[in-house]
Amino acid sequence: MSIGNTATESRGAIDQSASRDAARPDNILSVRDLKMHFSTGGGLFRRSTQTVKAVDGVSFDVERRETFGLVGESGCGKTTTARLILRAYEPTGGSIMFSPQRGVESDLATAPRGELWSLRDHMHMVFQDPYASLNPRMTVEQLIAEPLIVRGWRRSRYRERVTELLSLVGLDATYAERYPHAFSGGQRQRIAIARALALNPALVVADEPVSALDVSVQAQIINLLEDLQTELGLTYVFIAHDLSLVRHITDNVAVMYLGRIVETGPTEELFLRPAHPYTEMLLASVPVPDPAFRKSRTVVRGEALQSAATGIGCSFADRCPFAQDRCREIDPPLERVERSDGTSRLTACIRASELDLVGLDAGQ
Amino acid sequence: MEATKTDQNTILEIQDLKVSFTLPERTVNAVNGVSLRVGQRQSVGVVGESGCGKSVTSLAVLRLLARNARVDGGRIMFRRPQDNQMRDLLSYKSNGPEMREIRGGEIAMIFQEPMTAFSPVHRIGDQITDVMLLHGETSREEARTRAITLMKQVGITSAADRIDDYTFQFSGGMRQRAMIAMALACNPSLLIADEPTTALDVTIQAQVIEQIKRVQDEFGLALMLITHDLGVIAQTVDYVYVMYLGRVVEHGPVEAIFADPKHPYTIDLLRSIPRATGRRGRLNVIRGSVPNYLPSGCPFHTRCTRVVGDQCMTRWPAETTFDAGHGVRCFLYNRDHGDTE
Repeated sequence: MSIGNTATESRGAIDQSASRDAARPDNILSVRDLKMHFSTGGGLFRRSTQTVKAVDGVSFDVERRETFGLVGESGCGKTTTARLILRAYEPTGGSIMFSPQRGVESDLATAPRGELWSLRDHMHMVFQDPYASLNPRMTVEQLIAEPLIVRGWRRSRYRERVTELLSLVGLDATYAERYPHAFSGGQRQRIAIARALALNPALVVADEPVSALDVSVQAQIINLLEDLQTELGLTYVFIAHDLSLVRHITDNVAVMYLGRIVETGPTEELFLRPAHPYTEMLLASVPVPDPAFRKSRTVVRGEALQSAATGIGCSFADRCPFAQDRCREIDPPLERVERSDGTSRLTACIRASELDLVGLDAGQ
Repeated sequence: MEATKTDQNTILEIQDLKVSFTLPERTVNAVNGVSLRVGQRQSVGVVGESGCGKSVTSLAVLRLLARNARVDGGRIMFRRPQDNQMRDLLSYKSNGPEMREIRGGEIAMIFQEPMTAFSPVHRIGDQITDVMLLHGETSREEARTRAITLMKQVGITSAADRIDDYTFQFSGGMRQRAMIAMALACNPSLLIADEPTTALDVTIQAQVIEQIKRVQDEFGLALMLITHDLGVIAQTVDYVYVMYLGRVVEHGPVEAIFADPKHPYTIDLLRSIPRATGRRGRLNVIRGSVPNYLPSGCPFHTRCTRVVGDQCMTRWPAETTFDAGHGVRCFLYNRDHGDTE
């Protein structure tokens, strides 16, 4: 995704005429105004009293064969968004156009069961904790073959596929008979990846795939994910809280705050020159692994509290160092903002065009 | 009681500590001769991956090891404020009066998970004042006033109102702040923080780290920070110990460790982290994973790409010292000297 310059921009819609491609961009995923509201506070005989807007009007595009990052702090709705893409939840509103192949498109948000069943061949998920996501009572072969068995593959056929998948993720074929407890965290995540790839999906949603792993093992899994992407032409939606990692692996990124996207764009541009004050704060809080660039004082204030999202005005206003009175009155739409250096960015901040924010490489 | 003379500036000196755990099927040597030193007002980081023994080392200092753990050797010398003498904490009974005085009173600890470290059924304020009442002769009212002051100092807004809250009413960041307040309650001279920000979001992590640095400065504390996060280490401490499988493989001033790492493990570890300043490209990888047994000789030899010879598999290398107190244990720098296993 590169920066487009459309004149007409409507709220909640991302410009389609972006200059990333001469023709219409080849999006595998087009999410529009996605909403997921959960009811809480209800009891057996009580009505639910509150609604948590976990995802509240999220729109983004994922281009085929790219890695798209969703970042933000806990409670920002990134995992809920990922689960909505796989339709693990029934969305409250919005659409998720999924195109497993060029020219084919279906709305995951409204697809009926039968269609969803076949669409799920083309997308799979890798979870955070490989100690929780693999059933300890199943052998590696059973684990990897499960999606194939569900789709009616016979053992004679899937055995070969399991061997193929094991070698694809760098595991020995003899491991097929073992149980997960015999493996380290990194090896378990390789098994989880092999299972995700069993049906040859076009899209893999990875929710914090390395955050449960040791530092030295994280690098192995990240390299593996990158190799598999090149080899198999995969598209990743990559969710992580580790911004260094996100910068390393993603092409485009969306920053979420309390259920909304506050800024989205090409990763490198966004990290170097953020347009939204929250992105700046997030980047400023990354502990840089270099004592030569020790931060004197961070600019971080307050916490992301769901209760702070009153629905009126910008939900970041109470933590924002640049907030003005009008920020608390106007609901900032996600729109393309022209910036002082001639570039533009999709961001939800009414002051974005005036602000000159500091990115990651400042002073380094 | 034994007292030894060391550098007046030292507050904690761990000498050749060995800790093992007895499991039903085998014995695990978690810490295999760790030596480290913390100076007064100094901040020292202990970094390593899971299973390297960093938490066990810190729990050994407070004599809080599990029942199946055994200290097989070494000394833990701590300068007690009452007489300014170094005492071996291992010479005290783990539940005796001295350790009860030291724990919380002279050495305070911040744990990773503030939700489990606090009691969920007692008010936060009561938990903070209890520490003071246990260790000092203050009255309940004085303790309460001091608790409010401390909570304010660590950045809890409207502390006077929130002192009677329970932990579930606090957010993760606030709980960790309350934990810092509790740690400061009895004016300790050493603060041990075991992964204090691992469970927190990155913006909250930045705030908590800043808070720890500030109270360390204001209260004149020595800090022992245990973490796996090299970013946190780089941003927080003066001196670093790098641990791998129960051994300190390298130690030195933080600048030296990051700018000029010597041990192959440290070098590989630093290369394998995606730097926020780095671009796309292949990450350097340490092959394999941390073994679940203890290899003989240098424990890193099973993953090391620069094995010198047979001595790596059979002996633990002697320490080679570089300038400014930068020490490394690797046969690359010292081919012949080592202990026979």
